[in-house]
Amino acid sequence: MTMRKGALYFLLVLVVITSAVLYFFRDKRIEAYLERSASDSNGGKVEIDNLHFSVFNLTFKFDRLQWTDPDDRWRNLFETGPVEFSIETTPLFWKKFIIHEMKVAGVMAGTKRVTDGYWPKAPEEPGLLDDVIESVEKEVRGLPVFNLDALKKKANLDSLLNVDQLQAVLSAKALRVDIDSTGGYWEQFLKTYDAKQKIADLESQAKAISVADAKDLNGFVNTLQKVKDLRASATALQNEITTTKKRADGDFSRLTGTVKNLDNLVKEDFEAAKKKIGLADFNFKDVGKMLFGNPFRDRFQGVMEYVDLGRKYLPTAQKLMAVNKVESPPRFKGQDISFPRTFAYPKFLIRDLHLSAAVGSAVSSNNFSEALHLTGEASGITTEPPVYGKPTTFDVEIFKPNSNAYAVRGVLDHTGEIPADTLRLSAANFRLGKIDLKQDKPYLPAQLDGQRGTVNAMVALRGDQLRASVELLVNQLNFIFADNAVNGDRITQAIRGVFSSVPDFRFSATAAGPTKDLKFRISSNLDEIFAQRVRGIVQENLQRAQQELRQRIDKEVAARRKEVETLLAAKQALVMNEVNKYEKTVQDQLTVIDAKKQEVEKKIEAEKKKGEVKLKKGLEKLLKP
Amino acid sequence: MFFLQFISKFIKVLRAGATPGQIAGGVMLGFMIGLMPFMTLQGVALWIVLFFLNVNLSAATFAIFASSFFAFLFDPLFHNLGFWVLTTPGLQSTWTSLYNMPVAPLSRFNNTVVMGSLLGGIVLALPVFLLARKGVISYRSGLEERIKKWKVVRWITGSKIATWYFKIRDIGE
Repeated sequence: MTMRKGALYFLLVLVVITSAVLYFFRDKRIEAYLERSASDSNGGKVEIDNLHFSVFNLTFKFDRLQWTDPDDRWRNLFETGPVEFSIETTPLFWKKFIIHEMKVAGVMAGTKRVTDGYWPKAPEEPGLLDDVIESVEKEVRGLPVFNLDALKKKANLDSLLNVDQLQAVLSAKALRVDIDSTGGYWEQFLKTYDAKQKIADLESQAKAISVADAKDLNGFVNTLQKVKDLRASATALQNEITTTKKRADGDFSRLTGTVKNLDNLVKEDFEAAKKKIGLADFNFKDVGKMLFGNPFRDRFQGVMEYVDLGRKYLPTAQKLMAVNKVESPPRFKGQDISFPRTFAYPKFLIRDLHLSAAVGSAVSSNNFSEALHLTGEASGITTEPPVYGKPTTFDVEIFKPNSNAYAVRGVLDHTGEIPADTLRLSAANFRLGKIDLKQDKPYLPAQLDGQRGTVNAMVALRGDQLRASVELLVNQLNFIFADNAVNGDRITQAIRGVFSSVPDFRFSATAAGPTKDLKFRISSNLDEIFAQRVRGIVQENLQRAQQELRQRIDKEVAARRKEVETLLAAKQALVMNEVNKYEKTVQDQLTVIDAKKQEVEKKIEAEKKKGEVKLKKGLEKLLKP
Repeated sequence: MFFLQFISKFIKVLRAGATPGQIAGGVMLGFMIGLMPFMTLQGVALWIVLFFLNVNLSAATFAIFASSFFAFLFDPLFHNLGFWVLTTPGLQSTWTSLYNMPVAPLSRFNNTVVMGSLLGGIVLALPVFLLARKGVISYRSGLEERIKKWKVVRWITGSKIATWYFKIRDIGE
């Protein structure tokens, strides 16, 4: 067989044309491919502007990357300025994308989008963040709710206290119905009860039995039998009346118990009303927790969002194995047999990343002078940490203009089966700025404006076991109230005065435990200061308000209580007197019957003795010789 | 007219190399290509060989379609063969070395069906070549005349489509 010479030219032309097409359209094709892949992975549109790929030195450049927030299609999770990176040639043969060095400038988080960033997203499984949010929300719900407004409103308790909804009042109303119903039943029962007739019959039968009418022993024995029968009937009637009395007694005892329980209900009403109106007992150790619980929660959740992103995009060996698990070879597709790798490359890896960014809410309003600026480096960002074998590390400085920088260092070690993430943040003498405390009470500050601060924070998460701590010292601080007007209220002024005189602020918080059940501890020097200076003023007013509330509840319940007690006593007396009367009458008849019985028995005994004497004399006559 | 000339030339290329050896060569290469999964390094290499060697491309095209059509029936067999070869202990160092070479993984040699079909193709290549050549010789020595007399063949060759095909094929001759 000879060579097909023409084919060489044909193939050459074909290769040249194909290469030319691929070369001239490569940027658009790569850009579209990357955008589509990233959008699928993100669940929100990812856009790359002006990508350029150099075939000869394998470098990529683009002007901007917009990464849409999957939960808000009109907001970018982040966007970048110019990005430049080069990829390594050899790993491409194994379809591995290894970036040697990447430079990312001008990253901004939370920027607004001009176009809709919608992209269909696959349903997500609940992850670490959901557990943490639920756990934190549980803690926030347990934050103390202290409402000094109630102290001012105490004069207007009628509007705050819905008397008709008090448990004691409702119970008293129900009790009255119960007493009426129970009393009515017993009254009706006694009306139709035939005990009176039965007692009258007993009485007439007892009278009809005349011991004197009996003349001989037989007569006495017959009379005794009649007495015994009558006594059995009287005893049965007595038992019946006793049972009836016990039932009536039980019913009225139950009602009496319910009346007594009104006291407990009054206590419960009082505790519930205290909480509702805001007069619950207040521990001054909770001031720090109450003031800084919400800001701490927000920042903690923010940090955990980034940790969660790390967990999602840097999967552990366990997760990778679950994803890449070979169930069984698909029919006719064969099975890929793996061999040991001399050089193991992950599918995607950025060996080194140089970053400069601006983050924070000020970015979205283009207020860059207030935004947090970020510069730093990260290494080992990979989709397959177990394959790369080294943890992802980052070392970033975050700063505001005219302030010292925060140093943020982190190690995300997902190389083993259990992920272990550690983040540390430290800063000395930095400009704190304003912290929104999310309080709307006139006596509590809405913001904390700290001139200088020192902070040390740490988050360590191994598997689902989390331990986080933060220590904050703020100097030259100023508490800002939402309403700057001087309020004439004594308590408000006193509390505001304490806040104004705080020289510095020390705050510490810890969160520890499994992510589903985190336990928080928050403390600050404000607790001690408050305990010293405000306790007396607030406690005195608080106790006075509580006393007034208790009196108001007692007064409302007392009238109703007296009413049901009187009604119960009347019904009980009516029923029990009647039953007792029956009981006494039966007892009287039993006494009469017993007397007759004894009389008959004596007569029989006397007749027996007479008979014995006669018998003895007769026998003596017969036996005389 | 240019378009028709282009098609005519393409048909001539397809019909070129009409010796029994060239036809059998086309069948053999087509058979090997059709037997293997499409996107592999060796598959591309076979296409290039097919294109460069002066074999009969019509026969190759026919063989590609025919063997592709029947190949899936043998995939379980290829899978077992490939699995055995890839997991044989004595060959592990060879496969490991290949696996770690930059270009070799593009051949997808570590896939059981790819390996099995490649080996099957190599083993069967010579018998297919010999059978195909013998078949062409037999056809031309008497079978062709008999087949041309078949009613169905006469009906096809007399159809309008066939007439058009012959016209285009013979342009420039």
